Amino acid sequence: MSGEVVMARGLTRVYQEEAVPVHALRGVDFSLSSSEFVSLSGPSGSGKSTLLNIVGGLDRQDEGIIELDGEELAPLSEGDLAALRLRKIGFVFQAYNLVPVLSALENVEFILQLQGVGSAERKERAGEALKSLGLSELQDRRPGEMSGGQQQRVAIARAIVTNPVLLLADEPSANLDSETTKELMELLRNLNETQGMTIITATHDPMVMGYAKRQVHLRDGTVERDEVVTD
Amino acid sequence: MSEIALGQKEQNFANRTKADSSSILLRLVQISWRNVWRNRRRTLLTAGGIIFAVWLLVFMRSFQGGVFAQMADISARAMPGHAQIQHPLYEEEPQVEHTVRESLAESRLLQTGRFDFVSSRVQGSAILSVGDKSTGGFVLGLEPKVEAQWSGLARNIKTGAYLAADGEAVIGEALARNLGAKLGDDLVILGTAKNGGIAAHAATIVGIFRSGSTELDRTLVQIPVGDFREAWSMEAEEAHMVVGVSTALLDSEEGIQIARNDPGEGVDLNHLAWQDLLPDVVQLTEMKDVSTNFMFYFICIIVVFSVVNAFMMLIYERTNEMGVLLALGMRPHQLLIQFQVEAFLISSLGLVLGFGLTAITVWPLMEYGMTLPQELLESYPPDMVAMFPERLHPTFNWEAMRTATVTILLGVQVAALIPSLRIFGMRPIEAIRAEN
Amino acid sequence: MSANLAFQLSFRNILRHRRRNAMLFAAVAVAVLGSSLSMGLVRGWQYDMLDGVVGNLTGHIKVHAPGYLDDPGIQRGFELASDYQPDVPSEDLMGWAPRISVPAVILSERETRGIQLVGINPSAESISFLDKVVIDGENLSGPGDGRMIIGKELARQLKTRVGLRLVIMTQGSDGLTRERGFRIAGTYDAEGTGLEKAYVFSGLQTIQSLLDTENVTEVSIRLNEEPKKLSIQALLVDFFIGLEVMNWEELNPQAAGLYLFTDSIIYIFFFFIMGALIFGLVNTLIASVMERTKEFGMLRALGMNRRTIVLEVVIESVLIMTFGMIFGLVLAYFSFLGLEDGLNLGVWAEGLESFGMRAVLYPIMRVDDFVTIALMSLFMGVLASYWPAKRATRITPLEAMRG
Ligand SMILES: Nc1ncnc2c1ncn2[C@@H]1O[C@H](COP(=O)(O)OP(=O)(O)OP(=O)(O)O)[C@@H](O)[C@H]1O
Ligand SMILES: [Mg+2]
Repeated sequence: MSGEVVMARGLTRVYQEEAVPVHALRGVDFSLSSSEFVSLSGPSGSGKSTLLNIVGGLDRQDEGIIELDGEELAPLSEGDLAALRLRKIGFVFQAYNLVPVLSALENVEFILQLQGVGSAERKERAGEALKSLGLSELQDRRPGEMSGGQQQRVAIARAIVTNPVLLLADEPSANLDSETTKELMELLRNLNETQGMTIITATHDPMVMGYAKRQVHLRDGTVERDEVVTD
Repeated sequence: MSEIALGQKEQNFANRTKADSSSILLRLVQISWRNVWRNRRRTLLTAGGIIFAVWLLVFMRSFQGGVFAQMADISARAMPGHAQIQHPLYEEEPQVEHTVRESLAESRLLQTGRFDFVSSRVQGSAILSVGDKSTGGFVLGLEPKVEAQWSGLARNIKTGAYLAADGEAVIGEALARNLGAKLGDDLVILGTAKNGGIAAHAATIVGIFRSGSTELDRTLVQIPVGDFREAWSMEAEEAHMVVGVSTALLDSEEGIQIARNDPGEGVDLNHLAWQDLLPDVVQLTEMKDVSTNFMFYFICIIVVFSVVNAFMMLIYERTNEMGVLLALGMRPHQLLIQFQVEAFLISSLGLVLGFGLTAITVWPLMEYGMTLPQELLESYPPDMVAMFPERLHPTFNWEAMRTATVTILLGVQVAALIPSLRIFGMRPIEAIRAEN
Repeated sequence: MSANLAFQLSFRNILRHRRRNAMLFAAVAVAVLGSSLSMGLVRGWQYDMLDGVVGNLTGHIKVHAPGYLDDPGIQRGFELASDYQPDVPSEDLMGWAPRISVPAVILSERETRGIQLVGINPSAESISFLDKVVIDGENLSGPGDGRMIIGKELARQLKTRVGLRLVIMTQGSDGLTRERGFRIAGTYDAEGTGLEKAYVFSGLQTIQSLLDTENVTEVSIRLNEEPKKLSIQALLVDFFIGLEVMNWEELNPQAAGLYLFTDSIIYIFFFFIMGALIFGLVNTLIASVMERTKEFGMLRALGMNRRTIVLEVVIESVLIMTFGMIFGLVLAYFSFLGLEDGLNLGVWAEGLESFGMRAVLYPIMRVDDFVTIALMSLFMGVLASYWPAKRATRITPLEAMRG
């Protein structure tokens, strides 16, 4: 195995829902090795989210092949896909979407619980994940009692606590001010550099793009540019 | 990674999931509990309908149950008694020769240890005359000393007094009117004796009663049993029925068992409980229960629709949250469990508060009783109202409580299930993006 | 202007959440259906009871000689001109019947029963229960018929049957006892056994000659419309000078009380059923207000006044009620059509009888009842919106921006 986390060949995705079919992806080739930090960019409607969703096992391509961690996704059932997401992928969404009735610690623990991790190990790992993001103080607060940036950090803790092979973040900064965005991106870069976490973000935000080490630029459902950033 | 290694990994994963499934269940319960608490207002409003339905059913049934039990008791005490033993044919063919032996029948009732008053009766129809006026009527020979102690009729003497000695008679108010009779008048009774001859008896009217029953008031004459036997040429031990009355209000099931209990001494006798003697009271009770149930089930349907509606709102509001959880790998059935637990918590709350409210409203009435408002009295048949006691005491109806519990629990779970099924068709991406 | 805007907003908001509002419509419809059904059944019972009381030889109005009620004998009879016609406008009069009704004794070989002997003109009895009973054997042929018809239950008790002769004893106008054999022309089967045990009928002229009199003891008058009883009673009082002219309510005050009480039962049913509904309605309205915190806050910031906001919530509630109600009333209408053949309560026949009810209940649909339900439902809608509307007015632009 080459350490390829994502391997996509000729991905197409057509939305038939409207009267006119929408070609969200028109043959995307894309691969990603372990420990890469990629930023998907491109104008609105260019297919960033669609690609991210297919990579994350949330959506299915119409044509082409997608492999995650060496495993082809197309034959998997919905249940298998869910299990795969639970084990291998960490998600960070635009609106941080924590379970409002659970505390920060419980939110992070919950995902481990879904994985079937025992209670003692769960507590320890969740506590550690929060600590690594500087959230130990806040672990007993509920989402309603935290700022947006704090909530987004808890969401990241929730995403990484399972040691996923891939972390996906679609517009992670959309609801954050630039100061908070900066803190958040530092955090992601830190994760990438110290723990070798493989990360893909999709964004319009130049500041977010700036942190990635590779830029994949989409336009009209195709890869327009794919370049490694050298600072 | 080889196929085998992957397989093993899956296996481990499966084992761990199984081992920890109770912990995830507890977490789901916790989340449900907190959601129920977080949306207190909605929880209470949803539970409100349940509280109302439960209260309505249990309170009404307790109230009616108590009133009807009392009414049945009063009706039993008015005339027929709590139990009777008759000749097996007498009920169908009330002929003068269909008699039971007094001592045998009395000992059977006394044997049960439940009847405080036991006495014999003989009865038959006759022509009644006062002066030159005559009419047909019904003569009941009884033991005045015993019946005076319990008979409601003995207490409803409008003018004069109840029977005390041989040669006396008490008659109904309408009968007295038809005969133009006053206290002290001589009443001549002519019937057909056991031997086929004429049964003739003259008695002094010492009392006029108003029983509340138009039929009794129009036709009934009571005389001492001895006078009747003599006039109808019957023997001393012969009775058409032996009547048992208990000072305690008989629980309906128990009463029916005691009364119908046949010790089987080889003599075939007809044992009748008050339920047999007062079929109209029993039916009226059933009918009231049915109409209360009818209303309860209607209200349950309304509650079910309200719960469906409440869960639609709840699921709608949590679409984003659910989308994220599904994206993270939570399974739809786990979310379903969460909603089912929420439904259970809401219905339990409604049931507990409903029973609390019922207890608070029923218990004082059970303790102190209540007087019925005049308008309500008028909705009951006049015959029965005449026999109503001054204070009515409801009895807590456990059966209604069981019905309410089962119906509400099932109804609410199903109601919550209907909108929850949407989860299975939910696409995480769309759910996350849904705006609300 | 603002009402129009509020209406538009409410209407769109209901449409926006049509699935969950459909549930609410269903709940309202079930509540309205339940109320209408119970109202129709109770009305049916009420009419039935009235019919029973009025048809039970009473009529809407009855004329007696003074003292007859206390001493019901032929001595308390009165003379009725042979060409008598009640002085009542013919469109109001269903019919009238002169009768003699006296207590009597009926004797079979071994049994004796006290009964009420009633002399009738059979063709005039279309106004009483006799018109509806099933008769085994023959009915009386006219006022001169010398046979009798007796109740089925009485026949059973006396162990007799059609065609046999029984002796009836009663008191003549001179106070002396008369006896006469009557052949049974037929037995009648009334609802329950009360009437069957009490009344024995024969021809009016036969009874008059038995009692040696030209008099009758009562004239029973039945009207087409019950509410006219008072004015017509007044007319009759002027005609029957010296006699007692009473309406059914005076003759049977208990039944009259029950009749009135029935009206309140209808409202009790309504409020019980609607009580359960109101929780669901308030629940939805509040949610709908809370969901629109932003919208309301924004509208307030744009200068919409509180009244319009209150109006919007009230209109939403009333609209939901109206939709559900229309649906419920349509359902109720079809249920009534389905119940046209009556609801059979035969299982509880004996118990019902003591309540003056028949075994088959015919629900009665009255337009004014439907209107009452509709108006009360709308009122409930306004009532239910009180709290949510109050909550909506408390939303400030500030709160909305934070939320
Ligand atoms: N569920 C859907 N149904 C129909 N069309 C869709 C759907 N999702 C996406 N599309 C269309 O597919 C195209 C790609 O959408 P996608 O969300 O991937 O774009 P994006 O690059 O993420 O845009 P943005 O920067 O605005 O998030 C767009 O034209 C969009 O309208
Ligand atoms: Mg996007």
